[in-house]
Amino acid sequence: MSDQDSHAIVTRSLSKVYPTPGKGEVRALDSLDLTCSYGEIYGLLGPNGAGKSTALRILATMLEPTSGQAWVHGIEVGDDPLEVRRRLGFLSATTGLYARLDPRETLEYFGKLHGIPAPKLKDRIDELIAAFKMESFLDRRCEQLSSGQKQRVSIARAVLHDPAVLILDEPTTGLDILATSDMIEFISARKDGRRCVLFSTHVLSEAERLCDRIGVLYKGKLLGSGTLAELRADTGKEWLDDVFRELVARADAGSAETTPAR
Amino acid sequence: MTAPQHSDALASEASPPQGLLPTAWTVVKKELLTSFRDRQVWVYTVVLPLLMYPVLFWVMLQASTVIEGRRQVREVEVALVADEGLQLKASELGAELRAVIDGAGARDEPDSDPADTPESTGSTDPESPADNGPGPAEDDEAEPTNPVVLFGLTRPWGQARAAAALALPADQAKDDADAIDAYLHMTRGPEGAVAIQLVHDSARANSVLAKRRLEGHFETLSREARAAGALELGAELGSLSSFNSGSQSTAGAKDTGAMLLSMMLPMMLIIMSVMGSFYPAVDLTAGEIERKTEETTLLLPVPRMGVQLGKLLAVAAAGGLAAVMNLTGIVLAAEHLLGMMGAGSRLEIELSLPHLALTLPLLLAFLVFVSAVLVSVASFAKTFKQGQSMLGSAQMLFLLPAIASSLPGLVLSPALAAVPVVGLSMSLRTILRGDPFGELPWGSLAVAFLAQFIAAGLALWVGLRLLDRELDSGDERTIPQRMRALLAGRDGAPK
Amino acid sequence: MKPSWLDVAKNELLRLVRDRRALFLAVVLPALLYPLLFVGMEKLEQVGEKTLEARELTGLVDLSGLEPDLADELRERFGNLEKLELTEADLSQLNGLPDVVRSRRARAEDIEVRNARAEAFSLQMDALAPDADLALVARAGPDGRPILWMVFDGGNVGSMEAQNRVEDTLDELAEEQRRDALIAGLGRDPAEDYRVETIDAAAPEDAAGAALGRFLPLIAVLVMVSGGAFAALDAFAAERENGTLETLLVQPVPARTLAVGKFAAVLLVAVIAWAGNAASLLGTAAAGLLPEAAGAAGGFDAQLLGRVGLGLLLFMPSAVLIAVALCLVSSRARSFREGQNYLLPVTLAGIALVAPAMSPDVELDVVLACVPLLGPSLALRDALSGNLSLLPALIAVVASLVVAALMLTRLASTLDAERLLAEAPSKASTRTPLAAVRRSQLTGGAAVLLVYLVGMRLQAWDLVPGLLISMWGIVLGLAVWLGLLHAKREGTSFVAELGLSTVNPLACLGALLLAPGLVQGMRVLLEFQGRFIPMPTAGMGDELAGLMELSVPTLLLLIAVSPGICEELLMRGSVLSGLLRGPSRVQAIAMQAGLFAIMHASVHRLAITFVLGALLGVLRLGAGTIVPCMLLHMAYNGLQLLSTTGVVAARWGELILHPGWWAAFVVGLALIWSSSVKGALLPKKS
Repeated sequence: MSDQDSHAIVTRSLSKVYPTPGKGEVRALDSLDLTCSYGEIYGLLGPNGAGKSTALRILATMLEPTSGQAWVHGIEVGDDPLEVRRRLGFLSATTGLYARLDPRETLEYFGKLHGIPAPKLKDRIDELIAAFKMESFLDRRCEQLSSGQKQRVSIARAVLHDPAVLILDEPTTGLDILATSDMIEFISARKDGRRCVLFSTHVLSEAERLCDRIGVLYKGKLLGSGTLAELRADTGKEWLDDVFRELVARADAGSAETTPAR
Repeated sequence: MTAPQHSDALASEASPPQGLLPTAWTVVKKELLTSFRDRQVWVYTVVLPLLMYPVLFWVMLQASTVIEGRRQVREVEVALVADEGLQLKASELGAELRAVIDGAGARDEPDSDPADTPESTGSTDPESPADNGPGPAEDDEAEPTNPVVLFGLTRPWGQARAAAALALPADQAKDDADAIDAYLHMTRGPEGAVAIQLVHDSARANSVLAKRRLEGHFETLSREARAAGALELGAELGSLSSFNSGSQSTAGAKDTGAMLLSMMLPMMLIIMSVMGSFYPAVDLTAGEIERKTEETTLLLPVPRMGVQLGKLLAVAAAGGLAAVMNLTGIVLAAEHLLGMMGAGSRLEIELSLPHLALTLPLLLAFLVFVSAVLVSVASFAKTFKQGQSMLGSAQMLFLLPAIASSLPGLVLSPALAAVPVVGLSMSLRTILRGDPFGELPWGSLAVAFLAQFIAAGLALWVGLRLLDRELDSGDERTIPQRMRALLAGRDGAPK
Repeated sequence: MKPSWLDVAKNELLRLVRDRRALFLAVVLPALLYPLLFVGMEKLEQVGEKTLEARELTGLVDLSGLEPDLADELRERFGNLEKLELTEADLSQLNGLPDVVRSRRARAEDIEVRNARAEAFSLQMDALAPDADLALVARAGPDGRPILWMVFDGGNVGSMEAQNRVEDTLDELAEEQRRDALIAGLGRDPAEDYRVETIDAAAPEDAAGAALGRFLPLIAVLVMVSGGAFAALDAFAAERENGTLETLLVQPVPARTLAVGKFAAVLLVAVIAWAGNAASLLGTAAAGLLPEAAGAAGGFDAQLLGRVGLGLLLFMPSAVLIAVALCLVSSRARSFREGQNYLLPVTLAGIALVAPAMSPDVELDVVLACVPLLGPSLALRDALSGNLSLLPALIAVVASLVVAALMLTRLASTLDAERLLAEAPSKASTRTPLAAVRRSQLTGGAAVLLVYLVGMRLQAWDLVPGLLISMWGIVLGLAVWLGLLHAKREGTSFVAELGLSTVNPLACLGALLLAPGLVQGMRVLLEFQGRFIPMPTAGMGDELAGLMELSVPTLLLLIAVSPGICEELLMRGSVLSGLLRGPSRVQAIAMQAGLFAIMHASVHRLAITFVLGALLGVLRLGAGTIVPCMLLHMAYNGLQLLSTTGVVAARWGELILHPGWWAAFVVGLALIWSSSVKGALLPKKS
């Protein structure tokens, strides 16, 4: 059994280059090698513009890699994007909700698009409504929901088809304290032997608390990856923010030697 | 920015614009600046108007040449049918027509071939309806009562075909009956005179064309026959009347141009102003709500009325600019088109500065009026989309009266001058005709000016009241409820 | 269970229906307002006509110097004119009237002279009869008969009306006199034999159907665009703006399914808007408010319903086309506002395509049937009047549907996450043309616009300088500018960018040998094209008339040498240099040929200029320089000119059209082939 079949997510020297007219090109992602296992919560850590969203969107088949390969649930993303999307739940700050549908209608619509048979879909939606405590606002349109309620609908939407791989792009951005803790609770609840959660964040405490393993992404490059303990050992720092700074400082020093201009 | 970032110590010294107008002016400047940092605004106000009309006019010109070309080469089939005893006359007519058609072809219609070849030779069918039917009472000016007699009651065209088929030689009838576009039917009228009937079907394109061509050919034939007759009498046809007549216009190319301009320009000015203000009006009301920048503006320590006035004036300015660009685009394209069609020499368009200056206050007042009305309407919208569809309907209210200026019959009267858009349209037309100032109907114009200013003021007042309300985020009231609240004066925000 | 486009469409519709306020304003209200607008316009027009009729017009008449009989006859006839008060006055002071009446055709005189005379009369009229709309005065003509002159103000509607009516009266009298004279001399009127009584055999329902069918397509397009746009913007632009499009794209559903579903919803909304409008229109007509359509609405029988049904069915491809176009446009927009901007051009394009159907003698033939929107519009009209011919109607339906299907495929490809999520303005994917390609495209487009708007105006002002400035100023200027820009940005040499780095004499010779054959080939092509889009005879050639007066050397300079140099430097030179940096060589050739063709601004020359442009482009690639292109272009234009009748002696023209030149053509091709340069297509970096 090859690596990519036994792991939830595997990438091999994944790169993404945006050509920008007049300015040459922007290398958003630079040879990313990433492996996430089933039963694991993996946190991708990095500042804004580090390439986190690009990486996750390539995995979600929204973007095409310029070079390299990626497998989700053993399927190459370029080979069969539809199959990948069937196995994966994706949630980002930009995946909005339809303003004029209520939560149940939203879930029904996306359930249909996933091809879930009607009776089964109804049961699943009821289950999710109970799980995410959405009863109180079921009959209100999404435009009238609070941001926390919207977030719950979005999560329910993302896990509607019970995906083996869940990819969350900065899931706590813009949420209040309660909603954030709900989110964190949800992510940790997803942890069991057969599923994988990959999420990106720039909030270090979240990563520290939730993740089995952490990857630090900076300027498109993966600076380090491993459990918190491994990272600490590697950098010799105690706190995650110090670990992070150390890795970034090393990288900046390295790039300053090779390409002084940029 | 209206208020720069002050530290606390500065706040007491700072003097944000206090009066209504200074505030308004600051807001206008800021709104226009931000507007023109938006690529979309450039596209809408400048690029699109300048490109769209030339392209459109070019396409239409080319399309019309293609269609005209195809029309010219289109063949129409005309059957010449004669009643018994008229076959010889019919074949003479056929030959004459043929000659005219060929002649016309050589002159300017090389390809037209309205064949009239199927001449009747042996039509002696006893059921040929014309034989049985009673002739009309008057040959000359009679109503066409004949189709009933000729072709039966229900489907005249089908019957006409059937009749023609009977009158044609068998082999031709079979092939051609379907393709025949018009029939010339030679028959005997009352008192035995020969009458020619041109039977066509106005619902069929080819038949209409056949009729037009035949009428032209017959006109040529009668003109030539008369000229020949006159020659027989030893005179030219023209000299047979006891006088000649001619016309002399006192209007030069400039006057003709001024007339055309006075009919078209007011309509275009109005339509373009409305279209130009459309987008800024939505952007500064619903757009502002959507972008959630409304609150930021309202928090400033300046009179709110001033802010709203500034916004309104910014809409008017942007609308005016868009209108000017659209007009420029149209004028450029139209002038080019007229030049290509060779009409350029017959009119000359020149505007006198004083006249233009006279239209300016009217136009400015109208711009304020339009933007205030559009903003008032759009202020009921919560999203850009709603605003857009609201204004879509509202702008129609302006477009209809705008047409008034292009109607030749209407004359500016004090009563008409008081009707909001119609009065403006008519006043602009009256002024743009370029008559000397002494001859202008000053009374009516004064009414129009007054009416326009009052309308602008009223609209401005309503628009400001509507804009100046509490933040709209939680407003769940329906439009009628809000209208009622407005009228009762309860909707104004705390000052 | 496979997800279906129906689910997508249902969801779109559900969301649209939920936005009740916008739905009402965008779909329902216009449907109700349009008929009102029509009625209102009609009423306003009637008011205008009535006031014009009711207006008291006045005129001064001086009948002195006429035979008493004629004067009396005229007085009587003038007396019968209603609302036109003609009073007799002494107008003997009015002078400057010509001695003869010249025919309309001969009146083409200098505009200055005409304006000056008008001005003189204007002054006289102001002095003599300031309030009169018209002055009629008799003057002796050259043959002893009097000329009755009508002096009026051609810039005043009332005055024009008065002149019209007096002229009609005079013409009628003259006509009667002529006829009487002929009858008196010959015993009969010779025109009697050619009097034709026109009988319209159209059944009333056919005529009403035709009248209705003429303006129905236009209204349909307006209503469908405004109704459908609302749905399309909501389904694409707004969804992109709100971020829901990403949610949708991350679902395991092919983009095609999404596109079809959304398109179906837009189509349905457009059709419903149209149906609502048609119903309210028919209602208005039935209420007698629209006289034109009253006939059609009056007889609600099975036949009419059948026709309407058939017509609507035939028009459906237009609805499909409009819906796809709206979807495509909206999907390009990044926001609702941006999409909004594109609607006006779409509406105008729709109107332009449908407009020809408004004229009653445009026939639905196989060529027009192929024009999208126009074909179905004509089919609708013919169906309503009961004169549908099957083959063109079928072609119209199929052609419009094929275009719609092609656009639908494109629509699916616009739902591409890569493009939608790109941060930079839409063109940031790997398929993006490079900067040089974009520069070339923009400059080419600017050349087209400038030549069309500025160049043609200059030519109208003064032909020879106008042509020279267009070529040596606009075209050459843009060529040099673009060449310099390329050289600067790409670090190459300016000369190479213009395509002038070598000469390749062998290819030059070959190119010259090609010219006569090319001239003959293009004639064949033109003849073939004439079968589909024949050139109309009248109205054209006004500009050419000016050219024909010039001497042959001047003509050659204007028509052969200037374009040969300037157009080649621009199109095959700097524009092609930039385009060749794009991904496809074929695309580059086609694009510069397209620009070259559009620059000639005539639909009849589109095909030949495109072919010529493409050939010259290939020639540049083969020869590695544009010098042979210049020579071929000059030779081709020159020979084309010389073989036009009337320029030089006919035998020279015949010589050019001699079939023997085809042998030279083959030799030329061989020469070019043998000298062709491989490899070095692009200017090298210096």
